Amino acid sequence: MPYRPYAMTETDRSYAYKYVWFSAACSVVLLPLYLFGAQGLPYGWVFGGTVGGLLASAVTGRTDDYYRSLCAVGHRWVACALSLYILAGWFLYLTDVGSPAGRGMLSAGISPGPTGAAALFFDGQLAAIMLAIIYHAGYGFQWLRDRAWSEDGA
Amino acid sequence: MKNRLKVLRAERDWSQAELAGRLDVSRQAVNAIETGKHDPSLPLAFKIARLFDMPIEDIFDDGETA
Repeated sequence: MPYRPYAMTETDRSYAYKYVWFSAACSVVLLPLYLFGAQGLPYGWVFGGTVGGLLASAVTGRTDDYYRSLCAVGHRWVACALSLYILAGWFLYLTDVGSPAGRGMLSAGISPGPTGAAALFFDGQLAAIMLAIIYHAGYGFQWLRDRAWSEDGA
Repeated sequence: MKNRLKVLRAERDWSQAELAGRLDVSRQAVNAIETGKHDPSLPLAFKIARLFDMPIEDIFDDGETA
């Protein structure tokens, strides 16, 4: 067998499973930090921890099948949440087009400007943090489901 | 999918971590396969078969064979 000094060991591969929990904790902590307007180095660490976990789920080279299958559940949850979010925005855009025009015709007054979709899509960073939490929730859900089936735990 | 991985590992007196190291996967992945929570990919199934020097069908049972 050739000598491979940088070959991954079992411990290296197991690290991904541990890091995802750190990233999950960071994403949960990030939400109140953001909402309360926290700034500075701790915010940066928590932000980095969240982003790191998401990036690790996208880079498949140093992980195994099972880790990727858990991540896939998180990714599906994010896709579902994102599609519902965009769909809700689409409905609100319809309201923004229909309601002010109708009101304007009925009252012959000044129609109010678009409000519905603007209220939903006002904060991209908040939406991104919520999606990070949803990703980890999906991962955690599948992990717990597997533990429930497991005979001897993991 | 049912499999005999746990039995085969026990026969060789290997730990999950030791088997994981031989298969280039994590201990968690070995545990998930052993307990039937996760079906391995085809390349990993071949790797397992080669490691134990057995046909895949003798290790994994999809419930379709008589």
